[in-house]
Amino acid sequence: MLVAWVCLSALPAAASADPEARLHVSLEPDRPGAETTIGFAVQVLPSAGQQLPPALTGVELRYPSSIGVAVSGLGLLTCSERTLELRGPGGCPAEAWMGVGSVLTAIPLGAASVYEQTTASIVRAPETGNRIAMYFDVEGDTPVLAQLVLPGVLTATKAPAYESLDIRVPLVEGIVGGSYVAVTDLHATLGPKSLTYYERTSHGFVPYRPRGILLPSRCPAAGFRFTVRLSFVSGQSASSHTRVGCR
Amino acid sequence: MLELIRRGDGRRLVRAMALPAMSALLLSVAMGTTWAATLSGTATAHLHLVPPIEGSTLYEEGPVAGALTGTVKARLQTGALFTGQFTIRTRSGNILGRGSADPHGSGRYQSFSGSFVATGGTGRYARIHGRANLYGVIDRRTDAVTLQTVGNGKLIY
Repeated sequence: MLVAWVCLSALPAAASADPEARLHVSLEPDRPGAETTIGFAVQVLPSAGQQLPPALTGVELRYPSSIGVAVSGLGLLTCSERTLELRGPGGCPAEAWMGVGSVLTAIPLGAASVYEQTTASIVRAPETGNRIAMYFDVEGDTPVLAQLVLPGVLTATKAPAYESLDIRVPLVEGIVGGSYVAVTDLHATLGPKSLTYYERTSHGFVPYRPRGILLPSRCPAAGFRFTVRLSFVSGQSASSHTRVGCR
Repeated sequence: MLELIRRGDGRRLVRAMALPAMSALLLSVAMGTTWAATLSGTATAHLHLVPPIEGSTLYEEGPVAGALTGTVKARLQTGALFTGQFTIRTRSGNILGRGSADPHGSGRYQSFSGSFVATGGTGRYARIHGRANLYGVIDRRTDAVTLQTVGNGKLIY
């Protein structure tokens, strides 16, 4: 297994009075010049004395612009929000899929909390305001049957060496009139691992593995730097960064 | 494939002193050189990838036809914003430039539009400056790029 969770550092930047974020990033494979699948894992920790972190409203994942997300072979077709809502990710074309993931949510119920593991499907969305867009379809069935579609867009940052994937997270009430559902763990892989696309040829549809996210032929000596910044409904924020090296 | 939209021969000579409405920029160029010219019309380049791909950076080259005839080499940085550096080689001289463009559309064919800025040149285009509109489409399966610059009277040499 070539999975390499090469986390040279994972430094939560928030003080204990605020929620904390912990980011881990993996590249599979992690060779220079490779077509890779990027794995993200974000752990959200509550403020001191709190049982759960506040409800999440946004995720900004900053990555080096030298990594070829836009020219990967992922998301050659798009899937509409309506299709996701009516038919789920299974209703999307195979060539719209860009990755998969999971989200652990916590539903506050008085002094206790109920946790729900949900699955996430990442598909290419129609462009949004001249920006490359994707949807994160999050679905859970136990104990609460629910589906959420989270829009995400690639955004240029002020620092030209970086760009970001900005994900907007809608607020969801755990029970009617109750507290909002909290997110405690996010996992996602963006890349061709476990994806199969189909190309139409004179012999019919031929399956192939899409090209992954492109790494440059030289990796930075200190590794690629990734940063996550979480925004919460409370107005608080938390961030964490990590560096991922190449072999 | 060649797409050609020209005004006259594509190279419009302007006697600056005879046109009082000419911009100050063009006037200053014209007074120094007697003649100034604008690149008008559309130049279309069909580029192919020159491997290897360097992460988000694509090196491309191919022929250009239309208002300019020759070859183009391009270094394209793709991402949330597309940027690039270009060298256009023609019989009359080279044009160097850079561009930036916003991506449009979705799926296999990713289009983009923005502007091209001439940063220098050689030969006939040694004094080139100004900007043109920039359009393009990248085929994300093959990395082939169709690139189009459309002169709008602001590319002066």
